[in-house]
Amino acid sequence: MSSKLGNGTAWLKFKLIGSLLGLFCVSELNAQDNSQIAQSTTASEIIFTAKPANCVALHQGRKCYASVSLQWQAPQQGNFCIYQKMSNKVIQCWKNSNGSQVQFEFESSTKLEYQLVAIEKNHVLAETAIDVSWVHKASPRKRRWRLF
Amino acid sequence: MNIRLAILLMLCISTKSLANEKKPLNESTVFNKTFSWQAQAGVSLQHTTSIIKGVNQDNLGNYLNISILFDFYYKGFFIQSDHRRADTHNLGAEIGYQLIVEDDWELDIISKSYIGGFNPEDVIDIADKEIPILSGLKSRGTADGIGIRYTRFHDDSIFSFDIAALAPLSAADGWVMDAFYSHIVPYRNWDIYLNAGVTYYSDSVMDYYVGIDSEEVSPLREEFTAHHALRTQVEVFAQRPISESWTLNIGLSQNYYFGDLNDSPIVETENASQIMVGVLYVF
Repeated sequence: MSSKLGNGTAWLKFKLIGSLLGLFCVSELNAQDNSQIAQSTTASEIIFTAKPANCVALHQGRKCYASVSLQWQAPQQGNFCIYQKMSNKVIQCWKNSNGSQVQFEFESSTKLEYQLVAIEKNHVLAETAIDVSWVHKASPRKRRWRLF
Repeated sequence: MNIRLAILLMLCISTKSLANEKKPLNESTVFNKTFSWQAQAGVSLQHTTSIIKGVNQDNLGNYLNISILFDFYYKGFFIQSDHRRADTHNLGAEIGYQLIVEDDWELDIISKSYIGGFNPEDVIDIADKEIPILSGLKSRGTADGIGIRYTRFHDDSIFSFDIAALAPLSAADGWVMDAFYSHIVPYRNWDIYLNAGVTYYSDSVMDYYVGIDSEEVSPLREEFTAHHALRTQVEVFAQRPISESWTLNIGLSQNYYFGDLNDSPIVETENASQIMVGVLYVF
């Protein structure tokens, strides 16, 4: 009787855990399919990608932190820079290059867009973005409901 | 282990924050139109030490914990779990009603479990071995109380004080006072909660759980009347996102009891600790 109870409880637990793991795998695969890499490819074969393309914070409105990589490739060598779109902050520049990548620490509570620019022509060749999402939606009564 | 069976059952009505929410028309009043809810499910590994003799984690099933958490709020009524507290997952949801809501403080009627019960027969059954010290001992139910909670809010911390009577809702007669302070330290994508609590249990509460009445006396258990006790609690609880739907949760809790409960024949130690690591899926 006792071992039946014990085994039954354990079986229920393992069954639920199996379901949760399945849920986890499916949701993670979907997330990876949709948002792990943001890619911009133009007709002239310029590739500009951000990885990961999505940073997840715990709560809406909170700053999100992630180590991200921006990778680019151009058909011809030249001088290129990556800028943060809104702030025009230079992320990194390259001379006589047709492709490279830069890694940096992303830190924002909102989506940030990046531009790959050909320096000589001051021409935006491609854009990519890192989105910010969250697990818990911001609550107008958050403190009252015991949530920060 | 009825403690864990009780935990499983209680977790089925346990809780957390808010996923689907309409903006309130007036958030300063109690009787507003706010409705919000959130459901979560999770699994965790927990290592716990019990103050009761013979209550040990003997197999993997004892370490696993399944949680189905549900939060609900409507017009001042709420079901919630204080997810910053390690024993929330063991004691289940709090049900309450907001009496007074101000910017910095709140007064609620609250009903919750303050102590998890245990059934010695189940402990022995699941351990699948003789535990003489528990054999013939009566079951102890959960200490469900109804009382008043005062909560004080600060920018990055919260203080609450409960005073609750157990008698109307549970076999554990008596009353409980519970003071709890929680301070949040955000670090990158982590929320780290540093918690401290002090809980006072009246004579009859402690006597119900660790006292030995005349019907329970055995060669290993002499009659014992327990008196009031004080529990101090220190916790660290941390949570970070894994994805938009999953969070990782890690908790460490240490309790110490002051009082004469260590004189009880069924009490092993005045120290109880808990370490947990788990994931939660937010629906």
